[in-house]
Amino acid sequence: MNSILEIRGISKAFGGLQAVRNFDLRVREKDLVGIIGPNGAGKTTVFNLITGFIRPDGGEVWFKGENITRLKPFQIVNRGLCRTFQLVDLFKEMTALENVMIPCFSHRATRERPKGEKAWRVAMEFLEGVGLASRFNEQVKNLAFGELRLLDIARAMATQPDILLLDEPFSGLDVEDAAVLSSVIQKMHQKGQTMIIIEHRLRDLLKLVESVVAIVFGEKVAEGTPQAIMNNPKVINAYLGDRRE
Amino acid sequence: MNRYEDLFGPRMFYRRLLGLAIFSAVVLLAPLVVEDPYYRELLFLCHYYVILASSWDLLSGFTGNINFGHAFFIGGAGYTGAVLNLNLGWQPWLTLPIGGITAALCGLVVGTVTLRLKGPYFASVTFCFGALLYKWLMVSSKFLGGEEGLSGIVPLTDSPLGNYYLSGLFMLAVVFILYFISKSSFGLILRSIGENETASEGSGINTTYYKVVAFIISAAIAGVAGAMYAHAQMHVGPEMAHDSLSALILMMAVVGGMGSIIGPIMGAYLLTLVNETLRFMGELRLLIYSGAVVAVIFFAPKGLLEIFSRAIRRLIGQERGKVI
Amino acid sequence: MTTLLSILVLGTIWGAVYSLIAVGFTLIFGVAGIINLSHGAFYMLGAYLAYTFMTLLKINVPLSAVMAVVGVALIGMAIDHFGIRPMRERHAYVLILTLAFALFFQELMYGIYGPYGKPVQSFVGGEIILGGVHISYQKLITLFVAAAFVALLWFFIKKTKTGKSISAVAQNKDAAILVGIQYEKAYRMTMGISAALAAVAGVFISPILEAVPTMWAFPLFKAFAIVIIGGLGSLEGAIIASLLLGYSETLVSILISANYSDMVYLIAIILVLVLRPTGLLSKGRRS
Repeated sequence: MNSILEIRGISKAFGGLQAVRNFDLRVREKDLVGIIGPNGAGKTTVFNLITGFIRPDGGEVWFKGENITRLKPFQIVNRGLCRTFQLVDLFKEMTALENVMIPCFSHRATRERPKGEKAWRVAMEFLEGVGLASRFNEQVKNLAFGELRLLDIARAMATQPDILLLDEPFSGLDVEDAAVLSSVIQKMHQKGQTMIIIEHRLRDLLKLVESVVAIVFGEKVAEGTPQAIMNNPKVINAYLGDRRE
Repeated sequence: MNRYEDLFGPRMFYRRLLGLAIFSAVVLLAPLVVEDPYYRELLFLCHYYVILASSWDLLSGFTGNINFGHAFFIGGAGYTGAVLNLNLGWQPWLTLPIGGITAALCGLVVGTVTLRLKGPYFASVTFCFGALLYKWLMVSSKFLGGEEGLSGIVPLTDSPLGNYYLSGLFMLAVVFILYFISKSSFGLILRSIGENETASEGSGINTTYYKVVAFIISAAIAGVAGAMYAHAQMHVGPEMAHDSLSALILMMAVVGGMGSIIGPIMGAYLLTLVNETLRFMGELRLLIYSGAVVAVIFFAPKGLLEIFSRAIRRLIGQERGKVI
Repeated sequence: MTTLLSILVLGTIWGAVYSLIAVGFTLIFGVAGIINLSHGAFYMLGAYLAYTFMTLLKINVPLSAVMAVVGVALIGMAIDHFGIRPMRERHAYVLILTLAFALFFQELMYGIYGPYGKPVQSFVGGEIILGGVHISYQKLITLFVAAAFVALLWFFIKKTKTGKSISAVAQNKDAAILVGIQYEKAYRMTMGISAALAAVAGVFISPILEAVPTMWAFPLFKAFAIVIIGGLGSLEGAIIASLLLGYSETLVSILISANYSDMVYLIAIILVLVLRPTGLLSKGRRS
């Protein structure tokens, strides 16, 4: 199995709370995996553990045959693994274009950029890819919420990732923005971008992904196709009382 | 300003160049109007502080890592130059670069171990380095002069006019270099670190590397300036490493507008001139400074540059975006 | 032998004084998350007010002390309310702002009292001789008062309802709000308490060290060193580190030279931050 990302039994406890317990996941190239689970299940913690923002207590993360468990975030990004944040984390005083230019100056993106090509032109292309080209000179603090989400994705894409991690990209979006985001993700999937998406809004997620992993209280309780997951008793149980679909 | 070619293309570049050219012309031609040696010396001081404040700004204004010990490099290099001159007879053309290199090396060492620390910790450590140097110089033996410092250093040039031009040329060189660095990708990255270091890391930027490089450049420039000052005053004393100097430079940058290079230039000129004119007020001066800094923070947090830019914007009818 | 005893005694006395200043400093950081650079100014104001009341106005010692401490506490709360509150989120600005306040007070003292040291009479004259070591009664009183106040603070924070609510804000502001604790009040009270403690130190030290307008600087920096060594926000850490610093400085002063004792805390800060940034005594997590 040629998996590009292997998460092997990672765990993390915060004080007395076991946030993630023995989590395993294998992702192959071009996969589109969804991670679901009730609030506080540990989904974002898994992302933090994979991307080097937090160090796991146990277990390892292997990416393209290399153990990246102990690497710093910027090193992991430069190996091709990039994420977005649930609470959008951008450079508020800078313009949209500048926001996307920064990752273009990462070691990895600079390598991948053809010689003589200007960073800002490359950044513009990424903005065009998410439909924000017209807002390039707008300061981030003036952008609409839906636009911020798309900008964050453009920013992450500008690091030329082999795997893109999206953390609740649909949260807070209205129907129109969600449709735009959905089509952007589909386009990226068609181009072969490997992605893992954490999402709470099941309806939006299940339309897009091919396989789903369910986490409850830090543990993986189910893995399979969207159909199978939706009928899984443990999953249904976890969501009872939480009838937001 | 709606096409992206405008932002990155030649028009903006030439506009900036023009602004700096005008400034250079004023600096170079000023002595034709200003003939009194007292004022020429005063302007020398302005040049000195512009160099110090703008070099400080490169790291602290852009990345937000406030350096409370800039005087460490100034005093350190000043004394290095003095010692080399008094003991080995080295002349300014040698001591100034050596001062800069020494400061750069110190910046490398100090920066590598301290720049992984978050804001207030970095500020404290830099302060400690400055304070340690100061205290050590104060209790040092005859070799370093102790409280009195060292005198009899070879003068920088043979006249206030010479000093004016040497410092002025140095200042212009520094301003040009720092300004264009600030507008380059390096400057953009530094600003991103200051804005949101986590997001910068998350975008694949090795933030420590960039901070250290900025620190080294900042230190090197301050070092050359320190050596230059030592020769101009023909004397070095522990006060060159004192935290009040670091604080003064900081205030100049804050009042002028941190993170812009141009702001600290304005702040340095303004506060140096204010400093001189208020000299007769003795201790009250510091009170006025602190009051001014507080006022700026509350009413114009981005400094004088912000006010200045707004005025220019209104003049040329541009709604938003960058002016210079 | 007397040397060792001197070091122990003097070290403890200074350690106690430092802890008075340091616990307030660490409390403010732990609760409000700010590094209050005007903290040393509270110490200074305590000393100057002591001078004003005791020497100039000839008011009796206990009343003067109380007025001085209360006065400084009020000033501290005013600074928090008018100066810091509008800027709470921007840490860099709060740093510069509190520094500006400290400088302002320095200049104010220069302006009102002039640059020369202002003496205050010892509260109790005389000294005792313990094992060959001369200890003035003033120093002894200071030790006991310092220890008493630190113990009082400890009790207040750990055992009383108000104290525990302040502690709650320090640990998790959002949760504290949810249970109805008013964090602004907690901040203001903390500021008042920490200012008061620093003022107590200033008042009792004023007969030992003269009051000068620049005296706000060194207690601030030492408090800083102590808080870094002991771990930001940790009361126990501050107390232990204060004693450590007191002993180290006295050791250096007696064994090497008084000139170098003032460098101890600087070197300590650098070493701790570079080698173990979370503090020697804290458990390893940093905000």
